[in-house]
Amino acid sequence: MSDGSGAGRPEEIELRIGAELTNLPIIRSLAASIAMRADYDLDAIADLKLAVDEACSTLITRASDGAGLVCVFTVAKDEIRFQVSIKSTSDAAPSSDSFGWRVLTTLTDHADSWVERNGQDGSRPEHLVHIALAKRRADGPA
Amino acid sequence: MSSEAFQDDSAGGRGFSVEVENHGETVVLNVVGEVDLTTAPVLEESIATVLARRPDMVVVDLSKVGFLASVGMSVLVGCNEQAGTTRFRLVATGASTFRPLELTGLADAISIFPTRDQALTED
Repeated sequence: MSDGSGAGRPEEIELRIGAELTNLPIIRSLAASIAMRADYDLDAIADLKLAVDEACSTLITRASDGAGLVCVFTVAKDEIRFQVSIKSTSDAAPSSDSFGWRVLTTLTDHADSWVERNGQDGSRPEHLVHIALAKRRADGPA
Repeated sequence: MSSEAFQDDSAGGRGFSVEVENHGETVVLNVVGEVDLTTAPVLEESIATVLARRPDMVVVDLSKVGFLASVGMSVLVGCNEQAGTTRFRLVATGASTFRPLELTGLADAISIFPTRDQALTED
């Protein structure tokens, strides 16, 4: 089976889409398609879909007006990494105490969130909020 | 048996519906579609409306649900807590619904059955 990257290098798939809740099904479909093509089993596909939805939902609710989500999937040999970013007027990192964050960490092998704060001069009042996660391929049948 | 329906006609909720079937003192909610941040409020409203009538048992059938986000799981946990003397049961199976409920430990807090028949007939 081809991993889609030819030389075995990780492949990047990027999606730029409006930060609207109504776009969540499109992002979930893409996550599922990517995991399916990478031969993930049904459980792992469902886990990735749920984790990606959670990450995007979290960032959509803190998006600046008119901001777009930038979603990047990186398909490596044994894991799929996902990073999503949004421009936000808030520089608070997403809460790691929420039930949603617990779901995200339960379903993935790695999850992290951070904020890139912009300068204090007021010329660029928007910050960049990121969430990254990774889901490894299961080792053989469960 | 009588039935009524809750629907989300917004763009994101298209295709999502909750059909309420009254079987005497038991009410079955037949949920169809994907439960996410857009559609979870419809699910919450439909269950709350049914629970307010204080039936003996409420069965939320998730057999036709292809996706259940954390917000949907939170709705189900909240409704389970508000059920009081009404027996609150879920029908869930497979990777889309049962698996996340199980992995997050919520399957221990809510009565979950693999089929509607079992949810309706088991003690």
